[in-house]
Amino acid sequence: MSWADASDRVVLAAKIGLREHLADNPLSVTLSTTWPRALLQCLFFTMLGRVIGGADGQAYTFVGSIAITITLFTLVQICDVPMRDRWSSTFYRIRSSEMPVPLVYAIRSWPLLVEGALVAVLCILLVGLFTVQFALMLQLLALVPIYLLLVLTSGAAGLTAASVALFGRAGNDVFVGNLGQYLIIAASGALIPPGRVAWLDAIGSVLPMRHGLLAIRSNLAGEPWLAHLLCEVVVGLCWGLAAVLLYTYMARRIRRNDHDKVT
Amino acid sequence: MMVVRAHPLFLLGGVLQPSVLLLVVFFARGQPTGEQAARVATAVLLMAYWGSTVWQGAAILRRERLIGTLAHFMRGVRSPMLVLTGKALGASIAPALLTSVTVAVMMVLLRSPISVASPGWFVVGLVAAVLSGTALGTLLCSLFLLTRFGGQLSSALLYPVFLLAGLLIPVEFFPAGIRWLGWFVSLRWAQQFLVSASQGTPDFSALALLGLLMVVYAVAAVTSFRRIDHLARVRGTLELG
Amino acid sequence: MTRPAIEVELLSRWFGKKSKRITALHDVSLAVEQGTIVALLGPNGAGKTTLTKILATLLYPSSGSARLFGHDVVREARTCRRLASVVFGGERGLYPQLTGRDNLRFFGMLAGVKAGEAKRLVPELLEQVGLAEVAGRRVETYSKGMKQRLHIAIGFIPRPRILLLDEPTVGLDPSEAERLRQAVKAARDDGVTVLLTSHYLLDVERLADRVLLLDRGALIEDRPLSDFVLRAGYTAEVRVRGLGPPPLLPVELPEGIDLAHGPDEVNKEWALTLRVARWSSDVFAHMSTILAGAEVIDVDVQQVGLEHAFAQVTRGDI
Repeated sequence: MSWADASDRVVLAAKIGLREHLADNPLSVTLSTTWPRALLQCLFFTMLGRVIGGADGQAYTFVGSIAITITLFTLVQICDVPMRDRWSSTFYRIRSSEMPVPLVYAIRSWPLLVEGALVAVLCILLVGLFTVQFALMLQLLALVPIYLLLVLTSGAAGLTAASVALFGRAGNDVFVGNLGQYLIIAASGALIPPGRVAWLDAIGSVLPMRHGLLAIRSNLAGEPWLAHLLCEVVVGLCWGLAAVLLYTYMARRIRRNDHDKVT
Repeated sequence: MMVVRAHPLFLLGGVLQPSVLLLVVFFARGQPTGEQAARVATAVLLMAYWGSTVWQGAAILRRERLIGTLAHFMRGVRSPMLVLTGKALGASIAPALLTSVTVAVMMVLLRSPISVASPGWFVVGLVAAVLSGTALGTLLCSLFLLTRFGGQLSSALLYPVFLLAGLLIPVEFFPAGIRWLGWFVSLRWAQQFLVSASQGTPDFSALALLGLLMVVYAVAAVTSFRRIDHLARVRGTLELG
Repeated sequence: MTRPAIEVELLSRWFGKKSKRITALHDVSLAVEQGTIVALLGPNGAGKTTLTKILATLLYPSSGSARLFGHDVVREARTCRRLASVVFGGERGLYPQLTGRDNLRFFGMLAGVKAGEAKRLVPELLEQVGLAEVAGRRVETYSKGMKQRLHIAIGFIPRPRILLLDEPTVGLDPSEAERLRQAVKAARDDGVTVLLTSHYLLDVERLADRVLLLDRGALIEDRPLSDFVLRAGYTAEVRVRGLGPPPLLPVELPEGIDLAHGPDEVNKEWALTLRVARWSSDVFAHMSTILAGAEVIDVDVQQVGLEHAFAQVTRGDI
């Protein structure tokens, strides 16, 4: 396959991804329901920090709430991308295609990754203004690139979760994505500071977000932060690899077992 | 009921959400005691219950449409409203029971078991909360007849209700101009009554307001279902397939 | 000598564990020459779709082998996917939220059609299947027939050398179904090999060169269409109606004529149906003898078709 041919395919898959996304989430619905919900979720967890720990608590949870909000798109909604093939009984064409299955889904997910990034920036601005944290808001705006990395690493985990949803029982799509999100709420250090509960720390260390959030917090505290960032990259790559392996394995398994729900 | 019980969403709203919220509050804040613990427990219970009601309310008609049974449902001899209410009630009771058990177990595990001084009134409060949830669930279900974006619409209602009801975050933390909106959220009165019942001093004015709002929701559900059903047929947006 | 387009050798496929094993295909062997249309018939659950899925590389066989132009469907799945295209009929298998054009372009891309080629092929195929005017509409607004035609276009877009068609005319009105048959015939004339699974025997009668019959996972018939029809055991059915007393039939009917039904009497009318093994002038003489003295008011001759043969064979009456 030539480069031109490969890029044509990627562009077409990306276009289809956008059209599917807009068909399921028209701009009017996104602006009137999805984004307000995301902003209010961020506001809720930020203010919970204030109730729990005053101004310091609020600053702490503000940083983490933005990451939690990103997972609405990269962990919860991303499950819809492969699930559309299950709902439409089109997965047999995907698994017999010239393009690797995980690549098809990764490309078709791009609108959600962009949306996650946009909403993160909106959360920094609007929730920062509402909770009167102007200085932190400006500092976080400078750290948006790290949040963008979190979009990618959590997106890789989301695609892995989506593979489980695609091949599992009905309703798993909603469950698996939300399970991922709740694990991140509990164990990523977004709301509960690391070091308080050992078993949550252990779970969090292999989840996306945790090391990236540590990088952001270290940066804000003027401490070294690059090592944390590298850990986040490694965790993201591992989740990406897991997605590749799972989709490949599952596609083979279907060919062995004739899984009617998916084919 | 069987469909609801078998659904993974049931575990999500009934076990996962309350457990994680309690973990966050306890480990980020430290051990609450006495009335504080009762406030946290009832807040998490009602939040998880509200979350389940919204999810299940949204899921009922979605499921009917996916499996292609909506046409039978809408043109049956029995009133679709009655069937819908029954389904919403089933979808409310099951998560309420599971969430209650989860919160009770988690509170014990977190070494902060709550004692209920007036268990009878506490159960009355729970039943009233479930009934008001059913009325709201029915209202949400009818949204699905009009639009296929009911899922997004209903999930957009989660956090405004969490915030306005003052469940985990007291309403005093919000600007005075928007606090009055919380008066129309039944969860606020449900929590007030449940906390007071757990302390042995049931707040009957809260119970009365909870009951009143339940009636308002039910009337709104019946009226809107009729209106939406009519509109959906006129516009041809009654999505049956 | 050129290789057969499809070669299947002792192919078996079973599902489930040993104790609850269900055999979908059992030691099926067949070969299909290039440029022919072969119909795969059989009652529900006979294994037709399982065989189609294995040939389409969507399912592994449990034992035996299947090859497309000599390429093994398991070891050389990628090559086989380029050679064969599959069309599963029905309302699913399309993205309802996307337009017909987008569905065709996307599935074409997945099947390896290059962007430049797709630009030319997509409008051409949409025109060919009669969807050009609605190509910009979402598939969820399509009728059953339109969805079926889109399936067909998707099957044709990679320009396959083998076309696996599963119930291609489901949901099509008679004129659309005929148009599809013409398209399949044209493909065959271009050298495409077609394996056609259909419950509409009219499709098979109009299209197939050969008939394969599967029953409970085993291949029980493999013969040219014209031969298969003869498996009914007779050439025609003759239904005779009359007034008054019915004819007195001899205990043994003349050779070449069998009694299918009757004579039945209703309101002074009688009716009987005779089966003719092969037409000859003797048949008319024998009929005259059988019906002698009876008042005949109507004779209806129905030439035997695939339906009769299929019914006969699957009943085990042969």
